Amino acid sequence: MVLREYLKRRLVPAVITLFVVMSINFLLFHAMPGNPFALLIRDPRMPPEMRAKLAHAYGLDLPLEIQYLLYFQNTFAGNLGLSLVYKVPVTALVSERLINTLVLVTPATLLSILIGTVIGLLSGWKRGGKVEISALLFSLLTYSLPVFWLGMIFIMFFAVTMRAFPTSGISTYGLTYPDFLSYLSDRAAHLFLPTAVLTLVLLGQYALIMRSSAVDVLSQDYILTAKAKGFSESRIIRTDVLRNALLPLITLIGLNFGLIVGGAIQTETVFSYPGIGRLVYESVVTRDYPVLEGAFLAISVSVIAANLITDLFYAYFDPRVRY
Amino acid sequence: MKIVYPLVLCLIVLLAPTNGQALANPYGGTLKVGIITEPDTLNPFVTVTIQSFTVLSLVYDTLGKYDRDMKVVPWLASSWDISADGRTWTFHLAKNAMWSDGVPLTSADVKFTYDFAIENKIGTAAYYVGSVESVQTPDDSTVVVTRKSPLTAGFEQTLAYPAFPVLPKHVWEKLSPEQILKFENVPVVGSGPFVFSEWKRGEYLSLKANTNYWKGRPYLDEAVFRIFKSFDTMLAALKTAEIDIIPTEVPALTAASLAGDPNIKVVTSPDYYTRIFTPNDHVNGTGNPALRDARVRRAFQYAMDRNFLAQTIHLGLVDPAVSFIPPAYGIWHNPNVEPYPFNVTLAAQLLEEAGYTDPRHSGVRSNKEGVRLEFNYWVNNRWPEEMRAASQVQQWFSQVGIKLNVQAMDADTITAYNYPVWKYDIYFWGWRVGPDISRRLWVLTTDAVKAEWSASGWSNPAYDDLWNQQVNTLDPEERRAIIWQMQDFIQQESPEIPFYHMKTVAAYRIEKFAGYLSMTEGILSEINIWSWMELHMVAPTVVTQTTVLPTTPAVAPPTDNTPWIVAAIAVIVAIAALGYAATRKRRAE
Repeated sequence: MVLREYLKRRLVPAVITLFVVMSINFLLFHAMPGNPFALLIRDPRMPPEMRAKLAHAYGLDLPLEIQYLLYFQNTFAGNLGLSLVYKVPVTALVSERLINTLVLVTPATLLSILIGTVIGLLSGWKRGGKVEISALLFSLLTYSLPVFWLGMIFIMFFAVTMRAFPTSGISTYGLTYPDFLSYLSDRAAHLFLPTAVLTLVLLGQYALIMRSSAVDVLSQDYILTAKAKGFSESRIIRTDVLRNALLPLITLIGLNFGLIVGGAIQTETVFSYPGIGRLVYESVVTRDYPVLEGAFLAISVSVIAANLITDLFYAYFDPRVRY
Repeated sequence: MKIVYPLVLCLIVLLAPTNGQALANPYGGTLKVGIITEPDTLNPFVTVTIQSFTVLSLVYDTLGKYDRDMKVVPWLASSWDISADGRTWTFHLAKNAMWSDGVPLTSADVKFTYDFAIENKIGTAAYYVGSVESVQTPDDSTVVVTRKSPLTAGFEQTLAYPAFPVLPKHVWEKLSPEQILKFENVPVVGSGPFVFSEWKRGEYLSLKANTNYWKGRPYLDEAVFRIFKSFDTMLAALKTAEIDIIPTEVPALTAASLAGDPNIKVVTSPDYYTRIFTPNDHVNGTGNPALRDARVRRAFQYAMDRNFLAQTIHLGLVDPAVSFIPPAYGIWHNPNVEPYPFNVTLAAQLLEEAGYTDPRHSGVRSNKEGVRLEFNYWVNNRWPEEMRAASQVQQWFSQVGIKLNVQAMDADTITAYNYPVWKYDIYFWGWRVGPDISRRLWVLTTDAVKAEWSASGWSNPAYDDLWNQQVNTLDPEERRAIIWQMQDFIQQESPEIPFYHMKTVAAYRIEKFAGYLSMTEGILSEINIWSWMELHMVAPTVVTQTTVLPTTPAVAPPTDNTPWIVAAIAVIVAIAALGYAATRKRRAE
C-alpha cells in the first residue's frame, strides 16, 4: 500500500530530527554556564575527595565524547539516569508527569478544536451579522486572557465561593474509592477547572484560523456552484466547506501540540497540577540536569510524533497530496 | 438558713463524684499542611531544605529537644549525667524505643550514628560531631560520649537539632560514602512519633502516627504535607478547608486580608531568620573594590532607612535589624548595639572621607583610582516584596552619589557567583542558621570563608579570635559579654548589613484541629515537636479517657458521577460526529 511508502518517507526525517534533537539536548546541558556540580556538592564542607567520588559515581568525570555515546546507549535502554534532587529514576518521574499532562492537555485540545471549529465556521458562514461579530469578540477575548489570571478567577469563583470544585491537585488525598467510577469522578472533578481554563485560552486561535479559512473557501467557485445547484446550507458546509477549511487547522494543531505539552506550565502552576511543564521549570531552578534532559526528550518526542500524525492526517484529508 | 444553704451546696459540689475523668483529647484525624517548597530529600546527610528537617524531626528522634523556652531538654535520652570536668556525658536512653521496621533501638544505634558522622564528615552532621572524641556503649541503653579537650560551649545544642538524628545502624551500616550521597532513604526507617507513609513528589508527602511510639503516640492519625506551586492557590485551599494550616511565609498583605475570616487565625512567632544586604568583602573577590572599605559600608548603613522598609514593605511584621543577631537568641542578642540612623549627610561625609567624590556632579562618586560607586545588586527572586524594597534603596543611594543596578536573580545563580569565584557586588539573602548561637557567629569567621559558608567573604582575625574565645568560655555570663562585644565589632565593621529580623507568620483554621503551641520559629516548625504531639481534633462531644473515636477513612460518595458520564458521552459523540462528517465526502466518492 502506498501509504506505507509515504509513512517511510516521513519516518526517516522524523528519526533524523530525533537524533539531532537528542544531540542538542545533550550538548546544551553540558555546555551551559552555571556549574553542574553546584547542586551535587551543595554542602561546601564536603572534602574534595568526596566531590571526586560523587563525580565518578554520576559519570561526570568521563570525557565528553564518551558521555555522549553513553547518553544514547542509556536512553534507548530506557535509563535516563537518576534525579539529582530527588534521587529517583528520571524515567519514572518524567513519564508519570507526562501522562498527567497528557490527561490534562488532550481533552482541552480536542475540546478547543471542536468548539473553535464550530465558532469559526459559524462566523465564517454568517458573515457581516451579529453572529460573526460576537463570535469574533469572544475568540479575541479568550485568546488574549492571561492564563494565570483566568485560573485564579476560576478558583476564586468556582472553588472558593461556589465550592463546586476542588481548588487544586490531581486527586483528593486520603480518599478510598469503592469503585472505579468514583475514582474517575474524583479525578474528573479535579481536572474540570484546569481543562476549562486551558480550553478557553486555546480555542480563540482555532476559531480565528477556522474563520479565515472558511471565508477563503466560501469565496471559491465550487461553493457558488453548489448553492446554484440548490444544495442545503448544512450539506454544503458538511461536504465542501468543512473538509477544505480544516486543512490549515490541522497544520496548526500539529504545530501547537508540542508547545501545549510543554507549555501548560501556567495552568499547572495555578492548579498545583503535577505536570511536565512544571517539572521542567522546577528542574531549571534546581539545576536538576538529568530530569531536564529527560523532560526535553519527552517533549521533543511528542512534538515529532504529533507532526508525523499531522502529516498522516493531511495526506488522508487532502486528496491533492500524492503518495 | 442563709448560711447553711450555700454551705450545703458547696459540700454537694465538692463531694459529688466526678463524671468520669477530665475531658481528654480524642485520637484521630489527618492534619493537612500546605507547603510551597518541597523537601529535596529525606537523607539527613545530603539535604539542605528546612522542609526536610521538619519531616526528619517527625520520623526520627534526637537525644534531646528544644523546649518552648529554647532550653535543651531530654527526649530520646531520658536523662544524662555530666562528669565534674564536663568531658564525659552519660546518656540513658528511653525504654521501649523501636525502629519502624520492628527492630529495637539500642545504644549501638547512637554509637553508630556518631561514628558514622565522624568517619564520613559529610553534610551538616559533620558540624554536630566536631567536638566529640569518642563514644562508648557500656550497655544497651547507655551511651557515654567523651568530648574533646578543651571543652567548647554549647555542646547540648548538638543534641537537639533534627539535622543530626539518631540513625538505625542496621540500615545505614552497609552504605559506602558514595552510596550515602545517592541514598534515597525512602521509606524512612526511623524511631520518631510519626512513620513515613508515602511521598508523591510534586504532590504530597504523608506520615502516619507511630502507634508504638515510646513516649506515647501523638493524637493525630496522619499528617499530610500538600505541595502547592502557587501561594494564591494554597491560600484558596486554606479558605475552602482543603488544608488546615499554612505554617510559614504567609506574606504581610495576605495576613492582613485574612483578619476578616472567623475560621482562620494568623499567628506570628519570633524567628532566627534575618534578611541581609551582602556586599562582596572578599580580599580576592572580583567585585567592586570600594566594598572592601568599611567606611563605604558604614555609609551604606546611614544611607538607608530600615524602619521605613519594615513598615511599608512588611507592614510592621518584621523587626528592623540593628545587631545582626536577632532578638530571638535571647540573652545572646545585644540590645545595646549602636544603631545607624537614617542620615544622608553623614553617609555623604563618610564617602568623602573615603576618597569618593563627585566634582563634576555626574551623580556617581568615584575616587582618584577611578573606582566608581556603581554596584550590581541582586535580589533573590523568591521575594517580590524585596524587589520593591530594592528600588527604594536604589533611590536613597542615588541621593548620596551611589548607583545601584537592581536585578532579580534566582538563588542558585547567586550561589554560583558566590562560591568559589566571589564574583559579585552585592546581593540580598536570607539567613536562618537555627538556635545555635556559635554557629550563627561562626558564619562570619575566616574558616567560614574557606568552607564556602560565608556570604560576604569578609575575614578579620580579631573577630576570629573573639569567636574562639566565646566557644571556649563555659561561664554563660563571660560568654555573653564576649558575644555582645562581637556584635558591637560587627556593627562597626559592617561586613554585612542586616535589614530585618523576620517573624514566622502562620495561618490556620480553627474549627477542626486544636493544640498549636507557640514557640520561636513558629507553631509548626522543625523544632516545635510540642505542637505535633499536642495537636488533636476538636471533639464535638465529651469523651472520657478510654473512648477512642473510631477513625473513619473518608470514602468517596459513589453516586455523584452521572453528570460526568453524561458529559463524557456527549463529548465522545460530538467528536465521533465530526469525524464522521469529515469522512463522508470520501466515502461518497
